[in-house]
Parts: sequence; structure tokens; C-alpha cells
Amino acid sequence: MKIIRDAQVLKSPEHYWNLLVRGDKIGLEGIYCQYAPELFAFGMSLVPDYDFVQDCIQEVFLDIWKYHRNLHGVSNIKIYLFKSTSHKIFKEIKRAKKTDWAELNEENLSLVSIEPVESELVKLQAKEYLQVRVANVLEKLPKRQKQVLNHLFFDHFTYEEVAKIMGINLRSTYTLAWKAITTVKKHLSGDR
Amino acid sequence: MCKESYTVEDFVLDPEFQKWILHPNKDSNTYWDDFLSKHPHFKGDIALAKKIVVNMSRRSTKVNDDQLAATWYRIEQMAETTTFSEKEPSIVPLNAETTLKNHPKEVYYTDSRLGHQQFYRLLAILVITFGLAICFNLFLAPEETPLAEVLPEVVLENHFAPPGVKSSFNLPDGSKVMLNAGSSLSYVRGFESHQRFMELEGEAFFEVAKDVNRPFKVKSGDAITTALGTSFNIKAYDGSHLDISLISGKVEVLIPSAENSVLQLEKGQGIRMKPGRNTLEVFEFDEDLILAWTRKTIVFRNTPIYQIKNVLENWYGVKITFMNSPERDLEISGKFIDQSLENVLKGLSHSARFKFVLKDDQVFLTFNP
Repeated sequence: MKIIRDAQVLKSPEHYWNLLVRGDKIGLEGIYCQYAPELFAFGMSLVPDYDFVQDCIQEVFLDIWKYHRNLHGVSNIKIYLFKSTSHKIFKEIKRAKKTDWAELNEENLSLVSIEPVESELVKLQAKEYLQVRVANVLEKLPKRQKQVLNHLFFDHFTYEEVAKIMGINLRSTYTLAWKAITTVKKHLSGDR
Repeated sequence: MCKESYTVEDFVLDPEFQKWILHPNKDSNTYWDDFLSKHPHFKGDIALAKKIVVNMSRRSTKVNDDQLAATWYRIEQMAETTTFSEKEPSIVPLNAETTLKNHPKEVYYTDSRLGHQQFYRLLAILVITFGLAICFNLFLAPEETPLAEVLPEVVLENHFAPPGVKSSFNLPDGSKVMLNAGSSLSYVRGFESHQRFMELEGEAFFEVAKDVNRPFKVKSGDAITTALGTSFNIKAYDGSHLDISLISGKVEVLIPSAENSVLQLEKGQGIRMKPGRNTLEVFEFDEDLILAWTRKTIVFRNTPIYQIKNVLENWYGVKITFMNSPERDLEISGKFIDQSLENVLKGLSHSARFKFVLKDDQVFLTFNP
């Protein structure tokens, strides 16, 4: 990737987006460099299968390249990309009729680590075994519930943004999150 | 939402609460200290909510730079072959000519035979026509419907029964809905793939088609009722109490703002939530009374006169005005099956002792002294 290797300083996403809308491939590359890591993390959190997620993300970027002329109306690039990726992933899941990715292959497993929520204070109060437990609970949640929690706690989206990404209304977003937290609560309230 | 009715989940999901736990500052400390001293009974809930927020973790699968670069390489390769739009005007005629050039021999050799010549002319016309059609499809179509492919828009279906009108219809999954007057029901067109979710204002009776994979959920006021295959009635007019009554099967009711917020209802049971309060009341109901409206029947059982006014206004789509005040505690009983407003008023006027004037959609009641 020329951009990342040549110049350490990336220009603003809007700069690359404008290039992309005009059909400049540098724009596509710039957008990829900016957002691909997050999109991969998001995709892998839903479906821990690198090949699957790679295909989906590739499709998303080829789509925006194909339809670059119609992208000038996009107001929030990040939301747009997350929404497209989310949509693509759920569409592909449905097409593949694959519902269970519980079996991680070795290649994927090597990439897994436990990521706690960001905080200056967490080290003081969090307990590692509880973090592992929460991470395991999250892993077993229905995909939509998992997605909401991921967006809210790790991707730092607001409820409005999550609703937009997932194509549902605010109420449904909150309800999904609420149910997810109920499940987490059940697993943590035992040893208060 | 008012924090007095918060549950552990609500605290966890409150962005301000999260901020206080993860990135506390002087202001937030003061605010929550104050909140706790005013509401000491929340101490346990807040401790648990804090524990959840602090330990919130996920399995993270970070891809490395090589994988990122490999993916970009694939995208770039494929993007190379999608350079398309600029050439399209010249492609159309070129293609037609090439098609013709592919057949020169046949055309010239069969020159002597007129019939064959005709045939090849026809063939050429067909080839050109289809060639053009294919070119247009290949190169023009994507321009016209591009965003739809990337992001399908969510379309909301909305059914509304104005006052005075009841409406029955089938949902896309085959479930039946009867919507009472002055009520509305909205849902995502065709439903989402994982659930059948809708929002109700007012009153409706549902007969749910079985689909174990897609729970049937109705949100009304603060409550979410979930069913798999069953029939139930929800009454949730704005400002009035919320009634959920189960006729058959099983439903689960989730009320995030109330204590003991998840309830399983048995057949013949209903729950009631008074507006502005968080307590729930389970009641046994009379099916005839609850479903009377679906059978065009109005039933009053010791019903206060002000409630009767609301019911009739909504049922017939009229405005009722009291010319003088009725006796306090005036309660009336009566049952009317498929009757006109005039007949209902006549029936009521004897026991409640009033005179009435009916004019267009206005009713004036004068109570006898």
C-alpha cells in the first residue's frame, strides 16, 4: 500500500472521499487505509472467519468503486462504510446458510485476544477472569445483540449512529442492547 | 427516561453513567454522589452496573498489516478490471460493427440466393438489436440503480385506523391483526429476517402465525410483548393504562422501566400498567369483555361516565360535549351489539338520565338535575 508506506501522514478521510467520488483510485486506497482495520475488527467480531470477512470487505470496496459517482450524497463516511459492511455480512451469512462459526480454525485463533473497554481506571478495578467471562458471554449472544454492544462499547458509536448502521429504529437498538446486558448481568451477578 | 425507574441494564446503557465509571471527573462524581445519597436503594444496582461496565470486554481479532495489504491487493486487482463507464459511448456502435464483420463471408457467398440473403439480413438486425440491448444493460443499468444495491432503504409500513373506523388485515407472515379505532401499527416492510417487530399505539388484537425462528414482538408504550404463535390483545391508548391480555398460547412481556420487568403470561391472564407508574398488576380477565370490540360489541360494566365519553368518541369518531356536569361517581352498565350511536345514546339515557342532541359529528348531553 503506497500511501501508508510512502507518507506516514494520512490526509483527511474527506479528502480521499472526494477523490474517490471523482473516480481517482488514490481516493479508494486512502479510504481503505483509513477504515479497513476497523472494518475488519468489526467484521471479525461478528464472524470470526478471516476469509469470510475479507470477501465481504472486498465486495464493499469494489461496490463503492463501481458506484463512486453516486457517493457525493454520503454525509458520514464511517457510518456509511459500517452500514454497508454490516449489510454485506448479514446478506452473505444468509446466503451461505452458515449460522455457527463457533469452530475457530488455528489461523484465526492466533489472532484472538481479549480487548477490554477503554478507560484510565480499568486496571484498578477490572478483574481479568471477569473480563474473559464477559467476552465469552458476548461471543455467544445472538449476532444482532452482539453487534449493538460492540458498536456502543468498542466502536464508540452513539445510539443514533448504531440505529443507522443496523437499519433499525432507536427503540429496537436500545431493546437489543438491553437484552444483551441482561444476559451479561446473569453471568456476573452470581459473585457480587 | 427518568432515572428513578432505572434498572441495572439502564444504568449500564446510560452514556453518562459509562462516562462516570470509565472516565470520571469532578462534575460526574458530584452528580452521582448526589444521586446515590438521594436514592440509597440504588446502591446495589449501581455496584452491579459498574461491575459490568468495568469488565466489559470482547474477543478481539485484529488482522495484521500483511493481511490488510493482501486484501488491498485483491481489491486493486479487481478494481482494475472495473474501469468501465468512460468507454461506454464508443462501445455501442463498435460492438454492432464487429458483429457484422464476423459474418462477412456468409453474407457475400449467399449473394445469389435471395431467400438466404433475407435471412441473414434478419439475423443481422436481430444481432444488432440484442447486442445493443445487452450493451445498454451491462453499461447503463448499474448507473441507474447503484445505491439500492449497496444499501437497501428500510421502508416502514403504517396502518392507521382513524376514530370511528376499525380495520382488519393480514401481516406479511400470515398473522392477523384487528386494529381498533384511533390506533396505528407500524413495522418494517416484509419484516426483518430475525424478528417480526412492530409498534402499536392504541388497541389491537393479534392472531400470530407460528414462526419459531422469528419471534413476534409488539412494542406498545413501555412494554414489549413477545410471542411465538398465539393470540393476544393489547390496549395502549395514550394517557390511559396499558393492558396486555393473553387469549391463547404464551407470551412474554418485557417492560424495561418496571421492576420484575420480564413476565410470562398464562392463558386468561393479563397485565396492567397505570400511566406514569412502574408497578405492574396481573389480572384475570373476561374474554368477552376484552374482545368485545372485535365483535362490534360495546360493553360497559360500572364504567364511569367520563370513560364512556372517551370510548364512544373513539368508537364512532364523534365529539361529545357535556352541557352541564354529571353527578360525580356516575357509573353505568350496558351492552350494545353492532348498534348505531343514536341507539346507544338512547339506551344509556334512561339509566344515566340525560337528554342528547346529535348533530353531524357532535353530541351534546344535558343531564337531568
